[in-house]
Amino acid sequence: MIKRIWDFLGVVRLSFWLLLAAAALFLAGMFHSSYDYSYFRAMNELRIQDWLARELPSRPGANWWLPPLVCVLFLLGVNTVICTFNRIIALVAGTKRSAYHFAQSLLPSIVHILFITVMAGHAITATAGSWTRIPVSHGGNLVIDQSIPPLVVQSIRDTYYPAGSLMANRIRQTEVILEGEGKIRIPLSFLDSVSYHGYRLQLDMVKHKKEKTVEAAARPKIVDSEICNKAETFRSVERKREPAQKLLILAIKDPGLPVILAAFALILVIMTWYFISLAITRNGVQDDSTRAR
Amino acid sequence: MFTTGNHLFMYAAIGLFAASFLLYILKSRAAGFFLLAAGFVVYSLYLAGRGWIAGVFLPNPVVEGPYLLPWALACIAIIAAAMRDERRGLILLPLLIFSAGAIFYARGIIPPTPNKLTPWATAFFITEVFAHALFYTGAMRAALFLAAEDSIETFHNYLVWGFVFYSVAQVTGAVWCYLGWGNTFQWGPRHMSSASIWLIYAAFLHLRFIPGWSGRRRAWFAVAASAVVLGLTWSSYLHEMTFPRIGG
Repeated sequence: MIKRIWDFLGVVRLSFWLLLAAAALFLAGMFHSSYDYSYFRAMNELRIQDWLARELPSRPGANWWLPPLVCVLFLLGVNTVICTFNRIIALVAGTKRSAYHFAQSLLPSIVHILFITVMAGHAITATAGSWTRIPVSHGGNLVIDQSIPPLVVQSIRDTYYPAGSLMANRIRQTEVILEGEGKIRIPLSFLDSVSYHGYRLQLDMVKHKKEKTVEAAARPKIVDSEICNKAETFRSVERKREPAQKLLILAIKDPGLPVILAAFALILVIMTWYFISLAITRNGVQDDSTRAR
Repeated sequence: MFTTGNHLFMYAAIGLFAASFLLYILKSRAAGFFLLAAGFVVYSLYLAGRGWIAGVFLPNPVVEGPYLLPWALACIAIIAAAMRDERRGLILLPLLIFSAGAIFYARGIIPPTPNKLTPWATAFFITEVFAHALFYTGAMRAALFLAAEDSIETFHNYLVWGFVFYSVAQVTGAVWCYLGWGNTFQWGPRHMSSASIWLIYAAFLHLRFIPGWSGRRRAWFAVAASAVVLGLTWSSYLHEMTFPRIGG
């Protein structure tokens, strides 16, 4: 019985259909999230089990695709493990070949193992991650977690694009200075996060309203040579009033992140190496055959 | 920047691509390649100029999908010529089709918010658009295979490299998303459509190992997959045309 299940779950045909099923369910999710963007946006900051417990009973029509997607991805993980195991066993037991060719033939299996690792990393993130959004205002206290000392917002400084450009009056960067325990200064800006007591802190923003389209004609005309030759002058000013984008600090705990990133990086290196080495081997074979003729 | 906002450069480049295609049909390959290379240079200048549309250099408009796609296809056509691909001229067909898309696309740029100004975003768009270009080229070669005009290996190789580029795009996109929004994956339409495309091409790569999936069926799958890519990406591009833009 176990062998029959093992054999059923370990065939490439099943991988193919599971991949297509997952693609179809993601497409269904895409359509639902297109029509209900803000509803599904909240899902990014909740553990998946909490989301399902809260939202599945209340809006099954919008979330129907999520439980089968989780099941299909789980089955795909099992299928990948079995297929990879079977392939490695077959390779080891197979005909004798050079160490280089043996290593080369192992690469697809290694990529599959890393793919499972990425999926596991996403599963860890989805089930054990935490995301807390805290609004930022000058002089305000940031309480991320009751067990760690709060942070105080010392200053918020916005850098604007140069006057005269079409981007003038738009924020290019924002720097928030936080003060932690022991009067330590923690500078924080967009795309530049910091670590604090096991949390990753980063700036985030929420747009309040849609910006109006700015007609080029309504803006000052820009002469090309001036733009090319002059240094860009970015104006940096202390934030006095709240712009259209509301500033937030996102405190993240994501135990799956290192797993995902490490496995992703390895997949890229190995996959590229594999296809290049395959192309070289093929060309080598082709060259040899040409020479033989 | 002398090409700033000067869309004539794009029209000139597309004209050169069209002339190159014509010469390819007339079997004048050397002249066709020369015009293709010239078109590529002019189009590159146009893309660089897009970066300066706002009066301050921004990389995001340079790598905006509908405008970068013809450039990526031209690049692939040049590489195919360098590799002495006999049917390289046919790559100019999707190049011309997507150039028409660029002609009718919104001219201005979407002002980027601070969390969109990172080299990870640039790397993401470049690799993603190159992957799309390879998927379309692969589909075209698959159609040629169906017409008994090409080998199965050719379209398979294009799709393999498309998959490699698309995987790189998923990684660079995940890093950018984490830096900008705090997640490597978001439950939103953009991420879920990317996941679908990746899974469809992963499924394609597995077809080779399934008995009963002949070359013809695989070719049909490749054509259908590219239709999915076309539908998903262009519905997104058309949606982005409604976003507030500046400089055009």
